[in-house]
Amino acid sequence: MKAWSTCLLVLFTITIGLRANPPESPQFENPPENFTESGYIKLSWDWTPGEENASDYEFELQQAQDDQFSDTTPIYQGQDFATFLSGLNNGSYYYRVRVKAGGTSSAWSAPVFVQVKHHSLTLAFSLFGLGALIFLLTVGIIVQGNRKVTQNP
Amino acid sequence: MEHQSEILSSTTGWILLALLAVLWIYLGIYWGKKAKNLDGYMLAGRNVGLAFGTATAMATWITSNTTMLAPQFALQLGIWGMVAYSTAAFGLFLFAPLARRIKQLMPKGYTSGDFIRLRYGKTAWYVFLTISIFYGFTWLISMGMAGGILMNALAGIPYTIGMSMILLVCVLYTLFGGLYAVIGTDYIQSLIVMIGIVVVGVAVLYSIDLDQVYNDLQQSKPMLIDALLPASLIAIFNNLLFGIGEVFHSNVWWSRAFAMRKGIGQKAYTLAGLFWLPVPIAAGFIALTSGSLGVNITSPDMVGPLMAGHILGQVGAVIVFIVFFCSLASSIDSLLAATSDLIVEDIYKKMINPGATEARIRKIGAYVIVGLGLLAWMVCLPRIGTLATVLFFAGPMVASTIYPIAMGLYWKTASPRGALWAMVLGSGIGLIAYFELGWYTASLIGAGVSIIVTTLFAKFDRQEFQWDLLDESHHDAGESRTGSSN
Repeated sequence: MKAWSTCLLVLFTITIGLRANPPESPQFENPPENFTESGYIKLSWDWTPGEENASDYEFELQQAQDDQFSDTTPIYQGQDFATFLSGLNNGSYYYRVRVKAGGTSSAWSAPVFVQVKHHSLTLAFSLFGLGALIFLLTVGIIVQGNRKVTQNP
Repeated sequence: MEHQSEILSSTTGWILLALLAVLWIYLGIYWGKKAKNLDGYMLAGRNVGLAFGTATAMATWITSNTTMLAPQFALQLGIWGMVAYSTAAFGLFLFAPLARRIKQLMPKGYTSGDFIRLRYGKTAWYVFLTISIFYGFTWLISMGMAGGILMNALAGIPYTIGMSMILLVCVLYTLFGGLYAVIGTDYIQSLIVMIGIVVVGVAVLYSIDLDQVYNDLQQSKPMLIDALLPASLIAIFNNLLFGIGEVFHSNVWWSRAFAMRKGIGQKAYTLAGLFWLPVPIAAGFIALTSGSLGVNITSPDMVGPLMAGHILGQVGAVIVFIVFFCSLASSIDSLLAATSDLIVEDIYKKMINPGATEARIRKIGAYVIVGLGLLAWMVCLPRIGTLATVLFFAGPMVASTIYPIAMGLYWKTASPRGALWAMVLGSGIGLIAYFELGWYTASLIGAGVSIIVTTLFAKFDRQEFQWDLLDESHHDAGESRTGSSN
């Protein structure tokens, strides 16, 4: 009887201990500092679920404008290990991720920093204009060539 | 690949995969019986009419690029990205008059390589073959990868098995049926794809609130609806010129120009362009709704299939699986056939064994199709990157061929040295732009360099080319090219 009580006590202590231990934090696979000129970036993270929470886990990804995460925006909540962000304005963005497994949440991951600085509009319009010119010349070459060979096969 | 929830049970996926594999292989064997000689096998007897001609051009141009890259463009580059992708239709529109000219100048031609060799000589021909085979192979890989990614994302079929199956099925039916099978299956595949896209389009319009989509985009992805997103402004003409380069140089399109009856090519390519134009806009639009519908995207090239499956549910997911399988198969088969023709005709027949009999050439063609499939499979095994990264690397190279082709077909003064340097410098400088400025500038820069070089040489290194030299049936009338089957 005493042995049974001891076993139950040990089991209870282990269970409580397991519940009390938060899961490990996920870690970003991206480098700590990132730069994009097109306003999109893929964020991915690594985390290995334990046997006890193989399917019972959920990530939470947050965005903020400062590294203190004083004003956060939720970006993603779910079981995927990555998310693709696009359409970002010029600016600085910080991201952090954590996992909730077995009823407890991990600590936040180390943040990643994303600097968005779009190409200048001068460059964009110059290349747009160049493209339009090349396209019109191409159409001209074909239309004129076609007219010539139709008139004079 | 990062975990992404499937939208179809793997059992359903396996059943669909098996049914589609059996159907296309059976049709390949059935149509293959029509190919009595080499012209039949390589060029469908040079007798393809308007309906089949239009369908094959459209089906071939609706590829993983359209169904997967167009939504990716919308997700990365917004509204203008979607429009940028649809400008690839100009490749077909502008090739329409070229198809007529090609048929007129080379009634018995076989490949785009034939044209470059006869028009510009051997050095330019070697460079062209390198570019063309590299591009064809890159395209093939991007689609093999797309097949694997797609079946994994839709039905949880392992990437390696899905990729292997789609390549195997296409190799088998192209092997049995040659261009007859490719064009025949393209016809059915284009109908399936068109019906599928209409169904998906209607379902999307009924299941979303446009105001909500706009508000969500404005809040979370504001630059996607900004008319002045710099990267997308640059991408518009870059993609247009990439599309023109792809169509102008690739033997996929030349072989169809040779295969169509006289007077058909121009109409078929124009109609195909018109039918194709709205497809990337429809496919791209649904990508913009991902935020509003709460779908997480882990890989941008999967946004199209995932959104379609999400909106349409289980029955819809079946339609999506079939549509995407058809859009991939219709391009993989064309590429296998056209790249094999290019290798057999331009390398084996012209460089290695000029006296080869028709039976021998056909046998080598079969080996090349199998070899290409095998090589593509090996390269596809590790997933290299997103589809855009893989395919757009070839962008500046194909864009550099636009003017040697277009001017070479119309200008007597276009010179061999001009063609050679246009391709070398256009590719080189375009690749520098790829790495220095971004993939969305490379084709534009490659085409820009090419037009300048080709024009300058045509002006200052003038040559008077005799168009008759392009018709090889005059030179080798004595050769038993199409008659014998020994």
